[in-house]
Amino acid sequence: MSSGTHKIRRPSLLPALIAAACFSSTLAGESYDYDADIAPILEPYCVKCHGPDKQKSKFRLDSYERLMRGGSSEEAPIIPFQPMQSPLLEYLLLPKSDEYAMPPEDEDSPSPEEILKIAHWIYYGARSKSAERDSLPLEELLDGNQRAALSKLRSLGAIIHKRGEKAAGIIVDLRQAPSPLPEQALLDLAALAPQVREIRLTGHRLSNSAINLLGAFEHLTHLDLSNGNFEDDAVTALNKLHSLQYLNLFGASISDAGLAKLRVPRSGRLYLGNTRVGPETMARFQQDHPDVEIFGSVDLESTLRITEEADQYSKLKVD
Amino acid sequence: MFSRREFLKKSSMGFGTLALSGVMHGDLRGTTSPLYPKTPHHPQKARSVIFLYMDGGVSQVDSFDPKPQLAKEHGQPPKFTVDPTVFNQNGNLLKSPWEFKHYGESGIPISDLFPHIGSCADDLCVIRSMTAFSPNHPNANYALHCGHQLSGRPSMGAWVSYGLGTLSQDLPSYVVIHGGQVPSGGMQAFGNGFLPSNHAASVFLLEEPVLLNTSIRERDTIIQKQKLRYLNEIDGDLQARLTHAEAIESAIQNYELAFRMQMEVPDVTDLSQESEATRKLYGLDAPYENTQAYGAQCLMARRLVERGVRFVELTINPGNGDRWDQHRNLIDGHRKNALSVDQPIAALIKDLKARGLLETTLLVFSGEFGRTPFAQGTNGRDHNPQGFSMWMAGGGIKGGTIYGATDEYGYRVIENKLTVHDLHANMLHLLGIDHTNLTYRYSGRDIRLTDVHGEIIPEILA
Repeated sequence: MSSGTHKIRRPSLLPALIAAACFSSTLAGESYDYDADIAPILEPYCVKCHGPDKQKSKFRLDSYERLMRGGSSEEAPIIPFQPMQSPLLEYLLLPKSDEYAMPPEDEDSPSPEEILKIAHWIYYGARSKSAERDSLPLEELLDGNQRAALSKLRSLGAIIHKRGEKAAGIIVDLRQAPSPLPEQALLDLAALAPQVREIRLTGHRLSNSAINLLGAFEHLTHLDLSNGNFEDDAVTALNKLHSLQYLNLFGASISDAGLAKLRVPRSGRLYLGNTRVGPETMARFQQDHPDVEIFGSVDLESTLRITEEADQYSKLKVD
Repeated sequence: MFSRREFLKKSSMGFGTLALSGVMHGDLRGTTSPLYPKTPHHPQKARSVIFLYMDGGVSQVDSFDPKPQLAKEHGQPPKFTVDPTVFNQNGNLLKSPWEFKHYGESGIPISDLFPHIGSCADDLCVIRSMTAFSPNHPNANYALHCGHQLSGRPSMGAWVSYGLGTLSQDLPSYVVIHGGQVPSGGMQAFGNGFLPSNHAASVFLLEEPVLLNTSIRERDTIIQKQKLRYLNEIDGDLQARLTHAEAIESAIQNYELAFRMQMEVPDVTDLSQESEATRKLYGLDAPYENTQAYGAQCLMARRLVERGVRFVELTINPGNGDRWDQHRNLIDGHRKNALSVDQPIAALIKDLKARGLLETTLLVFSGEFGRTPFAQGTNGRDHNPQGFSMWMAGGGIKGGTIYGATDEYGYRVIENKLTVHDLHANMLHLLGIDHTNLTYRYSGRDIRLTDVHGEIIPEILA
């Protein structure tokens, strides 16, 4: 069989049943939602081979976005509103003897009721309430208080936008906001905490209360405090940031005493170049945090060494 | 002296009190500016791009694509079919005068032209299967920059500016640092084409004035303010009388940006603010003058990206005999060109990495085409669009990798061929832009940087 489109060769009764059932208005498909109704079906039967561990045919269906995007095949697995044109359903409905049948013959398959449920979900648009919510424009994602905070922060020069059109998390860049941030700006920032994934506070002077406030951003993955000015003791507030994957303290005021109190990031990257942190303290942090990659200052000496040896590089062998 | 800079700093958010125009008033940094950052299509790996344009065409077999077969058959006529070249003075096979070393844990082979870049090998993704649409400088250059062989299309920097806006509201979104060597085909390779003129490159020079007309001529800010307000009234009046006034709108916004740049540009381009160690790292005290000049470009690029400029392009400096276009004098010309850029580029990678910026800054090193593995004369190589090497680093690129291959002579691509459309598609992808979805309606159709082409290549993405 070619790797092009695969036609159903020996249709069972089920497709006809589905086609008929889809037009019946008595079914509940309209309210089916990816997270509540569909993911629980796909998880036990499909994710083992199409998930984080294995990605057969480069296809994962352990998230709505991945399911809709598809894998190595040119065609998307699901065509909203058209269950019988959706390859996913085609694979589910193939006779088990067919080499393209999914799940494969020796694996458990969803029940006819479950397949019907998927068909109905597709017929009504293959919707995901959470994905739809994530795709809302920033202003619509926020409540009234947050919207007010957003506009006040923007008028101070903060740049705030969503990570992506379909990603709900937001990025806050405060590099061009006044330093230190006014007390009110800190409160406004705190109002956005549940959505914020990334904060850039490059070159800012941060009071203890400002640092304390950062500790409330529990979903924060990226925090840039490079060239910032704050007290060593204040960094303990950051230890609450369990999701942190990127902490940039390049050129910041942190010293050995500060790093000794720091417990984050637990994994990811930590930038400590151009600080007063000594190599021993860095080594100790590395020992306690083996999953963290630490970046120190640039090694100027090694660069100068290459230049010195460059004379020898320029001696060319030519006939 | 109470400078305007201080005055503006003291007024809470800078400019609100100045009220140069209705657009500026209150909403100066608001989301209505065409350069205000836009939400990307998908979460971005790279926030900024630094494009290292290797004007003239670096020889792949002398840099990133070693071909031992050339040494074996050195001096013999090519056994393969040779297509007509620009000068058609095709000679015998010419082995590389440079040796290659394996660098880093990845062991990527890089020639002795680039020992400093070699020390960054594990950050590089070397693409050995790049191709060009044209063997002529201007057309290949337009294609590399604008995705189209003819002049007049928007440059990739303009497209990125149009798609994403920029993170600094006091600097342009797209900056070209002009080393003094005008590329073949002229500066229009950096233009905005049919996109609004806010997205054209601002060309910075390496000497004073870095940017023309940024020094303040008025005795005091009041007079300048009055002039700008008057100018704005005239523009606003015209805008109100025209139905389609995009050009006027762009002009008004460009005046406003220029006003803000008068403070920011002298500061961002002041390299004396950098530490001695940093200046040394970039080769600002290097014995070879052109290393100093390109070092200044690289350091300025870092300072621009640090402040949020979206797209920075560096051009090479004159004074090396010729651009990378060594039809003759290969050894002297390539050596000098490499000596100019090698240490500064490596410094840029290392410095960005230490500052936590390499992971969000995409570096692209490419010429408009490569060079032939056979000689032109005895010590030169002609243009080769059929297969050449380029590399990318940072910004979500998978470091320490080699992608694609040329034949055993380094002449034609035999594996995983890339075109400029593929390059652009992947650059945009890393910036969070779906290249099929970044369009501008012009001449009756939606136009893309990648035309109707461009493949995302998972193998080169981290």
